[in-house]
Amino acid sequence: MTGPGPIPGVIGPRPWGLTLRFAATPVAVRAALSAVDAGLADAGAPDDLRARAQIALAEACNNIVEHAYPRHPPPTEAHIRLDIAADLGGLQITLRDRGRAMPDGPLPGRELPPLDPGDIAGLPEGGFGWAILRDMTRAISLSRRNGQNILRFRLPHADKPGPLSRIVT
Amino acid sequence: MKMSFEHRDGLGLLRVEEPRIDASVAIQFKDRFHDLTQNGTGDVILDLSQVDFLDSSGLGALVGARKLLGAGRVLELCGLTPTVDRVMVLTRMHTVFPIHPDLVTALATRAATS
Repeated sequence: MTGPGPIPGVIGPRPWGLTLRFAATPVAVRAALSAVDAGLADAGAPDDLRARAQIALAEACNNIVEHAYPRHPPPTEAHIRLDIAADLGGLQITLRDRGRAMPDGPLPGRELPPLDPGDIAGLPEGGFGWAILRDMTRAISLSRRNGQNILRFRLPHADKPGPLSRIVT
Repeated sequence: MKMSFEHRDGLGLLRVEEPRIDASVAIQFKDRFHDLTQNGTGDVILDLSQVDFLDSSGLGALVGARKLLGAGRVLELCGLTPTVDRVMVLTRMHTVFPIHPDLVTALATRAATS
């Protein structure tokens, strides 16, 4: 037998996981996402799961880069730690940073910014991140402990369209 | 940010020659789009067939590019790969841009309706 084992629950039995620590910058996030995709491809993850992982992790990491570390350039100690653990149902993702806390209150939901296709000048250029993240993932939670933000979510093995997908398709 | 540009029959044909439009290149994308299209007056077709990933920052830059053209010029998209198409539909941005499977179809559709 050669090469790394497939992801349990996807094809084979061997436990699979990945831990990365990278600077909280857009360029470092891009490199980390490439490493995740290469790892998932090696592990035999299907294209759909790989695509959802890329989209969800991009939005989650961009949020940290933009909001947890709002200073530009970010301080040299501004890092993101990413843990991915595969299990029978899919991937459990944990992202940790030591940036600012989210404002108190419930996490943003699936709401998209208002959109009028006829009003070119008024088209929204942002506000999509959480809607995209919610659509790609399940069981999102955010906690704050010892100065650390801990964002967790699941990427199910099989894509089950959420309410947002049903509305738009 | 690699992008190629060509004028053809009053149209601007723009092709993104990068695999990702994400937060790390969103501003460059918008700036480059502006540089390449600001002197023209016609509609623009943006070929995204080489782009396999678009995040919300890249999408914001795409919307920003659309605004740069103004209401008098149309921005059409073609060659959306599956992940890009997915983000466009999820955010309803597919209702903002005319979208064609590929450049040949985009040009043929315009020829048929003009």
